Amino acid sequence: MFDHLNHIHQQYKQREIGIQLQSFKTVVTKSPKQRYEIEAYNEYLLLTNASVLPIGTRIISDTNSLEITAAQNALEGLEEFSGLIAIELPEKVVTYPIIEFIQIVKE
Amino acid sequence: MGVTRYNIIRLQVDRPGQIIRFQHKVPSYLKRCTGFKAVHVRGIGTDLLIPEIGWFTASFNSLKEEAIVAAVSAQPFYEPEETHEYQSLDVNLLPGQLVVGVYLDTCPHNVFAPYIVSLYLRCTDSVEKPQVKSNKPVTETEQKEIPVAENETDDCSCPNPMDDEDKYEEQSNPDQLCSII
Repeated sequence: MFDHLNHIHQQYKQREIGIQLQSFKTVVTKSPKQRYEIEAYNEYLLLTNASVLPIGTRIISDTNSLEITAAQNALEGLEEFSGLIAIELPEKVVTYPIIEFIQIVKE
Repeated sequence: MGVTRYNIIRLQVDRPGQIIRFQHKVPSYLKRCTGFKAVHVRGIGTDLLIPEIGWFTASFNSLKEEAIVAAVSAQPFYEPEETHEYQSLDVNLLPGQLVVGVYLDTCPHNVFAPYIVSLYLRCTDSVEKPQVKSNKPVTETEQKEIPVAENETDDCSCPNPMDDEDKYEEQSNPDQLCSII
């Protein structure tokens, strides 16, 4: 299993992005709300628990978009979002998840 | 003046809400991208303008510079508002680096049909920025240099040619602002 934090530091160094702060951010979803919006301007949110999200969940941001598929569960990669982030849960969710991100505030 | 080359990123959208990721390597001899255009190529037939059928995001230099967030519209079939203008962009390219991005379909479901969109990148092998015309107001000293005619009035009055024939010949200057009837 690869080290998320090591990967993050390496990649941001490659991209010449300095890190001011690195922390965790969670979005708690509750019935019956299906859509959530969070702001991540001048920072990055890296999704760490894609595997627990219901299939069909969509995360749409200014810089990246993602739809959770069955194949997604097998992946370990981190998806990065920035700007205004919209999280749309599919209809008929059995378990409302807690979505966890690593928050990177850049210099 | 360098050469200009256009890079085309063409994507096929097959289902509503589709998210398409793309990576594109700009040839390394190109040094700057100066413009871009995101267009619907074909697929969606509409009689009315649809301002947004999806949007592009793209970053340059292998995720170092996020430079593009642009909506794509679908033009009416019979009266398209053809615009060939590029939106301005000013990105210095590092050689061999990636343009990475995502296209997200937001087309209304009732008009959706599989379609093709393109992102055109206008790039040049020159690093020089094109010169922009100055919009500076005329300075006071420059204003003083403009010759001011004696007895200046707001009227466009011309001397009577019958008064002095020599002066009349001077008035055949094509720059004159009034004509003699």
